[in-house]
Amino acid sequence: MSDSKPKPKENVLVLVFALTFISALAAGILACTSYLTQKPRAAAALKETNAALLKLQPGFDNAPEQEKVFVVDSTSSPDLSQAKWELLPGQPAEQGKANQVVFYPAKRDGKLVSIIAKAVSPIGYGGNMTVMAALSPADGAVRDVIVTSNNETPGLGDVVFNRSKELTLWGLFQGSGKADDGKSLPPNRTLDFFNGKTYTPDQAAKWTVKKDGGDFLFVTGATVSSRAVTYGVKKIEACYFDMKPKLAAAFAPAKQTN
Amino acid sequence: MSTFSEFTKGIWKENPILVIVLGMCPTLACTANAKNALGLGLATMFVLVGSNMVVSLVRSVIPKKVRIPCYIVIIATFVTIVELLMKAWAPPTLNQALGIFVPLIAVNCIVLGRAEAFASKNGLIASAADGLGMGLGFTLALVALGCVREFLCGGSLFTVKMIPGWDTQFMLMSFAPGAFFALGCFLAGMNWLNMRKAKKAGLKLEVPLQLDCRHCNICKMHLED
Repeated sequence: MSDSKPKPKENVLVLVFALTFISALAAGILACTSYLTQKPRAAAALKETNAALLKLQPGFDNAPEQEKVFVVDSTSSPDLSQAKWELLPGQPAEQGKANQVVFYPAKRDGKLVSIIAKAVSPIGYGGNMTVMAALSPADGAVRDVIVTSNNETPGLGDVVFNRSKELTLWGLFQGSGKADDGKSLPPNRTLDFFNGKTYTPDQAAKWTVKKDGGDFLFVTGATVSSRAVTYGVKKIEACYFDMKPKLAAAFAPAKQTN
Repeated sequence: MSTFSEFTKGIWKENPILVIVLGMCPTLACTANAKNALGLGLATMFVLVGSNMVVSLVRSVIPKKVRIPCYIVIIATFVTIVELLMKAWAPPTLNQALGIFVPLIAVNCIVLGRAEAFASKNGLIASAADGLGMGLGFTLALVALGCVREFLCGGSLFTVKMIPGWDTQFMLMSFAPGAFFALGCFLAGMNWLNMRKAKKAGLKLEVPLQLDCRHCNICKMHLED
């Protein structure tokens, strides 16, 4: 709309009022929607975490989400040998912070069956990658590893950690066409290689991909993504090694309450 | 125009993607598989219907000079509502896959385009029909594009493998260049169909007047030969 010919001017106050009124109305509607969806949104987020936990340790009967503890590295340095880990029990921290590891206790009949840890690996090809691992409560050996969120290149970087089961037309006809039955974790070569590994500080240099002189597998063409996964698991393991007694103490008392 | 033809025009004759060619950012970015395409299409449809209805209701109240900011506020409100609803009830994989593209519906040209070109001049029911038709046309075009790209990439549709044994993925189709190739073929096919139809009727292809796309010369090039 060009103002080629002079038109009767609209009062500025009317314009201001119209915009203010519309914005206020929109804000009110949004506040209501936000309030109404607060509970379902929290439930959906909880369900998502629980689904990931169930993949790593099927059949726990406690609420690991409520018993989780945060372990924070106060130095925030990328070099894990410098890290100073501190336990913050049940303190809500910002999601996805790169310098923290979250530990969830998975219990069955009050007994700790698995410790599940979540860490963010900031060195992925597309930035942050969230790695979760189930650890054996006895010696901290890795049981299973999954990657829950990532920004890697689809079809190239995500080959490193892709554990999705493929749906086929034939499978659907046979009735076995569930993407995740929650019982078994589909295999993945690079991730399964972590199973059974433990960490001690003198092996720290070996906790990287073979290309960098370490022990772990990588996928050709996706070295950066492979490195990121290995760094995430290393962070979890290094943190667990340092915090082992404190974590055991943090997860023990719940035995009496169960 | 009857309400029904307001509804149907968006599906074929004035399809937002294949004829008007608006809202290309989500079209190219979210059609790597049919599931995401359907999710984004439905979200956009909801926003289109909602914003069209509200804009047509308040069209006589809003001063002309500030109408665009007002429309954007209305559209952004609906987009945020969709985002909150999706976070609460949509499957987590869909939320993760669509990510940034749901908030970006607010700046999708087709939504503001319909508010300005149609809803600000027409009544409530006509505007709702227009939004529904345009949204449906958008969704259908998105899903068609998604199906073609997903199938050519790995032989699957809606993440279900159609051809067993197709193991090597043709990654080009799931990246941005594949999106351009597929969209280009779609647009060429649409133009070819329309030109054939015009030729059969003994006419030359005319651009629908209400599209107001005179700045683009593609059709003129065809019309001259």
